[in-house]
Amino acid sequence: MEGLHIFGLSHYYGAHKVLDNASLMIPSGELVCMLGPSGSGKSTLLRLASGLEKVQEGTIVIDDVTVGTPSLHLHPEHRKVGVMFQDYTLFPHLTIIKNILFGLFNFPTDKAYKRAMNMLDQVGMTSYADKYPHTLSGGQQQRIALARALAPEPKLLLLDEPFSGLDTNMRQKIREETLNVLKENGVATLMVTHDPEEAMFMADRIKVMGESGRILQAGRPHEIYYHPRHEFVAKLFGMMNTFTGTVSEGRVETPLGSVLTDINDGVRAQVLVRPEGVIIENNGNDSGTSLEITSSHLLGHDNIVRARLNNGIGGELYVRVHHAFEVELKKNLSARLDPEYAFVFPLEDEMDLENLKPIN
Amino acid sequence: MVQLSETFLMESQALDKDHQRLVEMVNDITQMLDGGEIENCKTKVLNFVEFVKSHFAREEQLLNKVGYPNVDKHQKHHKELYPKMNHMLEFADMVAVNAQARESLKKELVFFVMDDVITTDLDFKKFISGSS
Ligand SMILES: Nc1ncnc2c1ncn2[C@@H]1O[C@H](COP(=O)(O)OP(=O)(O)OP(=O)(O)O)[C@@H](O)[C@H]1O
Ligand SMILES: [Fe+2]
Ligand SMILES: [Fe+2]
Ligand SMILES: [Mg+2]
Repeated sequence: MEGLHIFGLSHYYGAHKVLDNASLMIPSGELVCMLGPSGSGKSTLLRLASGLEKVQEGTIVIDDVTVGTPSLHLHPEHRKVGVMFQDYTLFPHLTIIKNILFGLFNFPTDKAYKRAMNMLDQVGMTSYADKYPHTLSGGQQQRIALARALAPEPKLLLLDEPFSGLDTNMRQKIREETLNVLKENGVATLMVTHDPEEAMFMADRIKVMGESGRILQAGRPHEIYYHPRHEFVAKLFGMMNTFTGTVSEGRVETPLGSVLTDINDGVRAQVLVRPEGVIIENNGNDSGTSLEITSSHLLGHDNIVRARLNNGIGGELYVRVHHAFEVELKKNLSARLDPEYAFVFPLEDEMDLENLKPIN
Repeated sequence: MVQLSETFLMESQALDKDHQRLVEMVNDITQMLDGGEIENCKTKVLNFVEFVKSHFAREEQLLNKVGYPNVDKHQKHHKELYPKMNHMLEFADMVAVNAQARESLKKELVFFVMDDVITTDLDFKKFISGSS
């Protein structure tokens, strides 16, 4: 099959098991983003796929060619893999065009030059061909790195936090451009990022890793965001409002209303509600709980509001509201939840996941 | 076209036959959508979903029979894939009027069969090939 197929990868550093039977598959032309806590083995998996590290247990196949098993190790330059790691910088002593030509040693000279110029064109940097890397901005260097990775027509592109050195604006621009270039070239791409929003923006499929490369959930970005199957996955995308309760008649009660669940009656459960899942209404009606706003922070299009419920229990609430919602002009507010943004998990689930550190 | 190369084989004839059939069904739906033939899409996706469910049942039975220790975990994994199948059916309802639904359905089918179903099964490949 075209693309990347990894299965049963386990990897140790000394006695430390970093990957435990990790598997994944990426068809050509698709982009899979891997999200997971620090130390969960994401970079290790990329290093194994690229051939920088030898397989101890498991199999790696790229475009139907087995490139790595414990008894077989194809060297990186024979794997048709392009890599773009955050710390994988351009050669400072070579011009931009020579940086790109470097990976094209297999091509006849005139064809190599053509290909290099074509890649520079794709990332909009032809006029920089004879410049040196240090004269380029971070975003421009990133574009060159992408051009260099794609120039040898790899079957697989591995990106390890490729945009983390860029500021917000540049980051957004470069990731959009990268996506265009990738789709145009039809390579299978595996990208690691610490930024869940970046993953949602770029990925055809997101894989959320827990400890030791264990896959907690895989699916379309929409699915990961709206149907998280683990507390950890739900919490990836920022702060959550948490309530606890006991399941009764297929529901859990919260101060903001009840939520349906298929967890068995009698089980202690927690309800996680995204800030956009709390609906604030004027003139407290019967369905909601009255609340008092304690602060408000403008995020651009939205506000994040902190509030206190007047239900005698206390506890702070985070609410995402439209920017036109001016706290100063409101009174008699009440809140209820939108079940679409509310997720129920048994409290026992915390046990095997509580050791996971939140990712930055 | 998706193909089941050697690395995806389970070394269990029954399971490999099922997996092969799943791949064929996905290719068939994909080709149909690419050819602009959408009338039969819903039926084919329905058939696909039915076949997946019967495959899960067969596989779980086999795992029980050979005494695979993590049957429960794998069964749970199968269960977790049900919402994905419901979603595919929803997409299939939209393919006539929505190009995005066609693309998403194709993508979903391939990832589903190759990543969620078959690749995950490779977890017990060692066990069943050793036990047969
Ligand atoms: N060369 C090495 N020698 C020993 N231990 C290593 C080596 N490389 C990585 N590790 C360990 O393996 C584990 C996984 O590392 P890895 O770099 O794959 O994590 P990661 O998921 O990429 O984390 P991050 O999100 O912080 O980049 C870590 O505990 C790390 O300390
Ligand atoms: Fe199976
Ligand atoms: Fe299975
Ligand atoms: Mg890393």
